[in-house]
Amino acid sequence: MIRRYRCHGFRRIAAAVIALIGVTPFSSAFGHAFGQRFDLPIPLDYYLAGAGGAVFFSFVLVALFARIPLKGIGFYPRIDLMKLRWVRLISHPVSISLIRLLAFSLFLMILVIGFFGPQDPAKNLLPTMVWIIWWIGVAYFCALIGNLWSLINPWNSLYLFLEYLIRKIRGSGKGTSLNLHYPSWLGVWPASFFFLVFVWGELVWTANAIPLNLATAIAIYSLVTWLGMFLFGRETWLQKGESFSLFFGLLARFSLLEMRRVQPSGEPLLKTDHELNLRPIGVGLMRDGQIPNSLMLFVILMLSTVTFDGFMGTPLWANIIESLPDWRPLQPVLFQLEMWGIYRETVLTTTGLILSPLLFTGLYLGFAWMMRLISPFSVAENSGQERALGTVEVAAYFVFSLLPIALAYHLAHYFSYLLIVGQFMIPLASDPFGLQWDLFGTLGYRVDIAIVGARFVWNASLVSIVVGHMIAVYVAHVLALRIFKDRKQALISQIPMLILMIGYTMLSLWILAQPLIE
Amino acid sequence: MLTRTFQLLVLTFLVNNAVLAESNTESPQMSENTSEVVQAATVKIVNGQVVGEKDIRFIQGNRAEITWSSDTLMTIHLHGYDIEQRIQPGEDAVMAFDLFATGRFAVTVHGHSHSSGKKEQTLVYVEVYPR
Repeated sequence: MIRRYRCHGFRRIAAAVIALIGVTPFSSAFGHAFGQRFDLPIPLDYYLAGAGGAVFFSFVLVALFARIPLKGIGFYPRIDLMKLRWVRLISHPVSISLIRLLAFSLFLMILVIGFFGPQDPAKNLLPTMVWIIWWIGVAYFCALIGNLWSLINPWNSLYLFLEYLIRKIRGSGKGTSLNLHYPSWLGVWPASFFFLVFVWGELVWTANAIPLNLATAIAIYSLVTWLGMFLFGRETWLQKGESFSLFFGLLARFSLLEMRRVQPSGEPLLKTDHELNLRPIGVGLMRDGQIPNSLMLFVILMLSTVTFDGFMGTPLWANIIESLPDWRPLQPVLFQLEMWGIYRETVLTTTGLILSPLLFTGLYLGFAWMMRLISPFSVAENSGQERALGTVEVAAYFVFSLLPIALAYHLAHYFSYLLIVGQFMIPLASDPFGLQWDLFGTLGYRVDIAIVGARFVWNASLVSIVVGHMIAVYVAHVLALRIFKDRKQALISQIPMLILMIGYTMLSLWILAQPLIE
Repeated sequence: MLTRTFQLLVLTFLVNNAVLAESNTESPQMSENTSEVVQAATVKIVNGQVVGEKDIRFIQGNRAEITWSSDTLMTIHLHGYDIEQRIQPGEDAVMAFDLFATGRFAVTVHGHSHSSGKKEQTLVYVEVYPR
């Protein structure tokens, strides 16, 4: 009797959770809510050209590294754009504050629209702003041009403003945050956790396009972020706990622009002591020094979720989803969960999402172990003695070099999506509040699905994949040459890494060659 | 060195494109009243499931004519091109449209709840390849 009652209680909770997760009239993932166009699978000859190109250029680069002088490797040309007048004007503290104010107002506006606007995802500004303009658009911008997010991050902006106000009133900035000691063992785990939850929301949560749900999620995350900033200090939380600052920041390591602090700043709101440098793409990934293990795992989480996102669209995954429930040991579990209203697809996708970073980590550590096996890595300690690096340390040292491959795939995968679904902004801009306004006369705009042709997408994908692969191989080799004094040993150490990179690039190409299924 | 290899890569793409453009030959019929090439396809739905091929391939610039038949009443939706079609049991329904955009487009059943729960069931995918 008691058991029964309990079960009933649990069911009620489950029902509430499910209501929150949202089986609602608009219960379809964002892409589907819109008249969606998938990319055609890349044809076989493109696939082969991409694979051949990746292998060929890998060897070209290795041959190059076998010859180039090692002196000064890793140094790169920089042009300080602050020397230009208009750049100084844009980066003037007043302009920066103005941009932050504008971005924050926009954030507030779309949040309010999400809560109170029309709840049809296609008629509300919030889903398009979040899933297309911000999540894909800002990511592209950060990866290719520069860290836009650090400028427009609304959570940072509000807190900065608060700090500024308190300093004005009290004469000192003390008391804005508690500045509790952030335990070093915690690393970037909070950011990893929030990132995984976010990716779940993106890939598995079927009701992620419903404005009210999205607005609620953003509001909760905002409170968590501000709380984190209050407890541990703004800068600490941005580096360790705010997953998007970490995510976009890592992408921006790849980008053309870099900010360099020239001298420590006095007033955070009025930063002028920076260089804004134009640099070769990808060089920001060649970071010196030890990368903490938790940061390495965050990067692997990024890589694996990007790949899993694509893998979810392949017929192979569809087959797995179809056939796994027939597996005997799994049946009672899935049946019970389905009784509680949690669909088997949700269960299996969530499991896949959690398993893929584990799989990636295991695989990568395996390759790092091989690297260490064929060339013993060591670093000079402060005492002047050489210390051998462990497998995990070797893995952490090279982890950034894998980012360009994931990034290249991401660009290829979302390129046409951004251009086509991004057009929803055109009618939405005319009627941001869903009040049938027509500010710019574009309310009746219909999305042009022919704006990008398949052949252009194929070519762009191929260039992106091959160039991304080349940059990855380049970065890994520079890192190897830096740590080894001996050129031969450095090149030999890179053989497992090269195999891993070629394999990863092939996986990306293979996904692009699949007929995507929703 | 790198610039030269880059040029090689670009050249490979160009050759690829040329080869692909030539290999995309089909055997379409000419329609009577217009000079447009019409590509016909038939999709048979039994018990809510498509019998046979789930991907229908067309060439951009042609006109598509898909003939649908179903043993149950349903409304289907071709995404992207955004065309709705009602299918009555025992009657052929013809969906005709100009293939102006390349891509892969899902045709889903409207208001049909799938056993796995959450999303509209996809019947077939319409693939429009570039010329």
